Amino acid sequence: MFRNYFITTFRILMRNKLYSFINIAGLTIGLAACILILFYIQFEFGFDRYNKKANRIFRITENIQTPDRIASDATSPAPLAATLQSDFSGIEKTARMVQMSHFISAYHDVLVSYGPKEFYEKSMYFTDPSFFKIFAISLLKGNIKNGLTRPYTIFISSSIAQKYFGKNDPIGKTLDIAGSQPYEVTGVFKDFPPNSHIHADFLASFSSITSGETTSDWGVQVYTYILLKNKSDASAIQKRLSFIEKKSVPSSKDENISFSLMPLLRIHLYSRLRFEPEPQGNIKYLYLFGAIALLILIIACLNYINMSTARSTKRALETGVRKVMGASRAQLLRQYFFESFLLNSLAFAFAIALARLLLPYFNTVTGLPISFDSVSSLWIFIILGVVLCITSLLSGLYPAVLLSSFRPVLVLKGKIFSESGVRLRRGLVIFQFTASIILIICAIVLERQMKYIQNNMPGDKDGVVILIRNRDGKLKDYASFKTELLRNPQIESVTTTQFIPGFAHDEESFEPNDIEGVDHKVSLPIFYGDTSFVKTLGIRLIEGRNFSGNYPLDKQNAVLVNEAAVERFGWKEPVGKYIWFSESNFSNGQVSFSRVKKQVIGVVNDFHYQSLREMVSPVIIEMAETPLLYIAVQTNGYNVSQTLSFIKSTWKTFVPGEPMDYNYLKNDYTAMYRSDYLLGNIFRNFAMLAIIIACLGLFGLIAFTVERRTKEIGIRKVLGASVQSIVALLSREFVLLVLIAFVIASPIAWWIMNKWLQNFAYKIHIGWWIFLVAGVVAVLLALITVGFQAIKAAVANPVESLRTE
Amino acid sequence: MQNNMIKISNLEKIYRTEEVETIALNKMNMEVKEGEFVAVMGPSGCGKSTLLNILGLLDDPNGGSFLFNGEEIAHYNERQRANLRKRTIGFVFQSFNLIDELTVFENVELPLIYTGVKASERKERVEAALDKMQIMHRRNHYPQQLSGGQQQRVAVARAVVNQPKLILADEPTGNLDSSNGNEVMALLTDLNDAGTTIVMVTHSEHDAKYAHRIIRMLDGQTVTESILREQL
Repeated sequence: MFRNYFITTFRILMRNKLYSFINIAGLTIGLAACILILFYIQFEFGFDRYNKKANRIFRITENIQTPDRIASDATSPAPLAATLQSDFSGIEKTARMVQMSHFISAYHDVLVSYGPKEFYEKSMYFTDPSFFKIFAISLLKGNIKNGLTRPYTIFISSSIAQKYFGKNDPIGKTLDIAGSQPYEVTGVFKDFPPNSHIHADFLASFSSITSGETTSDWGVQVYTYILLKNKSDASAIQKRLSFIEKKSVPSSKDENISFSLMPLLRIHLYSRLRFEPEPQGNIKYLYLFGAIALLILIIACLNYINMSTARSTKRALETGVRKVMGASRAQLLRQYFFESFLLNSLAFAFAIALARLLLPYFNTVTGLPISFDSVSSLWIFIILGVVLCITSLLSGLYPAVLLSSFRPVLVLKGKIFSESGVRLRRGLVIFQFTASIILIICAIVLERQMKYIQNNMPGDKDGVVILIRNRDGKLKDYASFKTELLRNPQIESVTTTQFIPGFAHDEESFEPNDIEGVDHKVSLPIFYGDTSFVKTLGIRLIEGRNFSGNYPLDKQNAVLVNEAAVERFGWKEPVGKYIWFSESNFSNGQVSFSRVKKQVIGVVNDFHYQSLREMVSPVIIEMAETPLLYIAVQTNGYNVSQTLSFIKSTWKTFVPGEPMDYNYLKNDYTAMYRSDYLLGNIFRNFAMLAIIIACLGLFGLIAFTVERRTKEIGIRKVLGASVQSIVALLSREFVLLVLIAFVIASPIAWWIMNKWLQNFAYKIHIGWWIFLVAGVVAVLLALITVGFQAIKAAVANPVESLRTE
Repeated sequence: MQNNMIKISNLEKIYRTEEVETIALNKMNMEVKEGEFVAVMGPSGCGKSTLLNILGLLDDPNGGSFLFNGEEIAHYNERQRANLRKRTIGFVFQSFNLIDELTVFENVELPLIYTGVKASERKERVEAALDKMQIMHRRNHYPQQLSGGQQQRVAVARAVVNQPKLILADEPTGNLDSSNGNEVMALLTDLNDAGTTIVMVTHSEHDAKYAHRIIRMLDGQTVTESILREQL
């Protein structure tokens, strides 16, 4: 029996090449997209699961409540681990981890050198030996017991071992860290898997932290991981934590601190905490991507349904004959399901190959390190198997029911036409295009918002800002360095700043002693910059004047404020107002504080010193002439590489022996919106796929319509119809369907994007033109798809058309 | 005296659309004996095709009685009708109705597949049928590679491969030239001689002469019956 089904299916596929191609191509593209997204979802869900004890591992998080706001941090006080361990028997192990850079560098990275090999390294942590008892990171060399106990001992990852030592054994060798402190390599561990919420290349002994008080100082923040004996102890520990809060945490009436446990497996997808060691994922995006995958798959399945039912009149005769020959309805249902299963399987095989081929591209788009082998686990194949069955069922069900329901008496007489089939097909086309148009609109909105973010990047829009790190204050003569750079006509301005523009954190706040006309305490960030600060970072002066060399007292008693500050302080005439600061003075080893009065000389616009997700809050800018953490160089954007080498060589004469550590501001800036770019990329690519599949289906439908109406077209032509009128006749219906889809899609897309844009304090307005563009694109594509076939049919010789009957 | 294979009495079939009600069979009565060859004639629209469809269990009547081998089947549901049909009735159509995607062999094999005959036996029986219709040499061809006469011979082979007791032929020579038509009629006569009951709808006086009896219909009723020769 199945042999007969197989033969029939195969021959039908071979004979109707266009039909087969559209069906298989549509399904293949849809399934491939689905497989890629499944890979992505699996990768994200697989975070930290490499740990065999993952279910028993927790991280302690800290919630800080002040009258202003609530903040939740991924870090917790350093002494907490020891207190917990001694207090509570349900804990098997605890381990602390903290970035080495917090203690030995002003930046997020640290210079590591071994002989002539020098690199800035980022993933460096101090930790306890127990780290290896909690996490399933295997040690390749060295031993845990005494490897990480002594101060200045360090474990390195195998790729770092390769990078610094090549084939030589690293054990016993010494690495210079931060230019001074030698650390002895006592162990090599296997690289952390890509889907770990934290990645360490260097793990140094916690005892190396010199500030002495670390283990007892409740002000030092570290990552605290605990391994429970039983998962069920978590709630008991939670209670214990509230007890410890009361007993050990220095209390303050302004600040209420509490701790909680976060399961390891929730960190990557659910953490919305500050100070995560690395940017984490977002469960919402997984749902969204899952929905997109499903949508694309449905569009592809609808193609199958469309094509099968459109062709059902042709298949009807076969069905009729089979029925007359004694086929039962069940047998026919089985045959058509088998057919759909076979076609889907074929598409599935192609889809896996296509997914494999597209994986590198997908990785570039998503920035993920997914490899085919890493995700091809048993369960993903089970899921794919289920997907295959579902698509087969989904696409096969209606055609099977429809075809097997034909009454042989009618079909053998050629009296088969089902009006409901036509209505259904119209519905399906509307659905396909609705989904496609929604994706297109979303893609455009995402693109616009990303563009908006780009446009709000600090600095001149046309220029390129290069950020140089002034490590350890090595650049002494900033003024001459600046003068030297400005000799180059490509360089427009140079300033020094203590933050990466667009990337500042609001936790760096200060509290001025007094603000004129304000009777309550306000805490706000203070930025420092020189006379070029405003120009280099593209800040606009709204009122008053900028810092200037013509006013030598500016560096002592002048400040700039932003508009938000003016509003917060309730100032009508901000320029000339006073702010009092408390400044510390060292003399004879004594610290004394004095009140310093500073005057507002100008108001700047609300430039985005933070992410666009945040409302711009009040800031004060003070003048500084000494070089701060960064030197920002604004170039005019032409021949940047040449300018860069000029800057490098200038740097060399000022800071010999220290490589210039720099980055383009744009890179740092875009990194902050990584997940939004990802979303944009996914939508753009998948909107394209959706519309391609939908157009494929449309192409098949119009081909079928033309075939069915060949005689009608011939007669119309004989009676004098023009080519245009026939093209219009054939296209009208489909264009109308796409227009209906547009009307349905627009409000839905608007709703989705409006919701997404709420993540941003600063956002684009979703203009009507976006919908217009999406609508025009969809209609145009539909017209091109339909038009090709319609014109072919319309210009055909009517004699030929009529002969086909 | 042979038994009645078919006995229909007061059989009614009415087609209704929103505006028109067409009476296709109007209290029709008719009997067909086992081993008989009956030709049904009449002008277009007289109800002969409807009659054939009901006899072939492809359609159900709106009223009246239909005894098949003495059993009342007018009330049978679709599954019961399909079951009875595939075991006892073979069809030959004017437009052959072969499946384009299947070869000659596979087309003829189809009824055997649906009655659940084993593969080895199927091969034997299909080959025997093709042999009998002298179309064996074309067994691996597709229908559209054959002439009309050859296609109809395949269709007859398909109709008889299940060794049905009754063959229903709907203008079997309608799409054939006279020599091919005669050949098909000779095949049907041979089958009838071998014991198969045949009911044939035709427009052709010439073809009708092969039958034992001619029933002439008008407006859904039998108008005349003429016996051409006695059944042996």
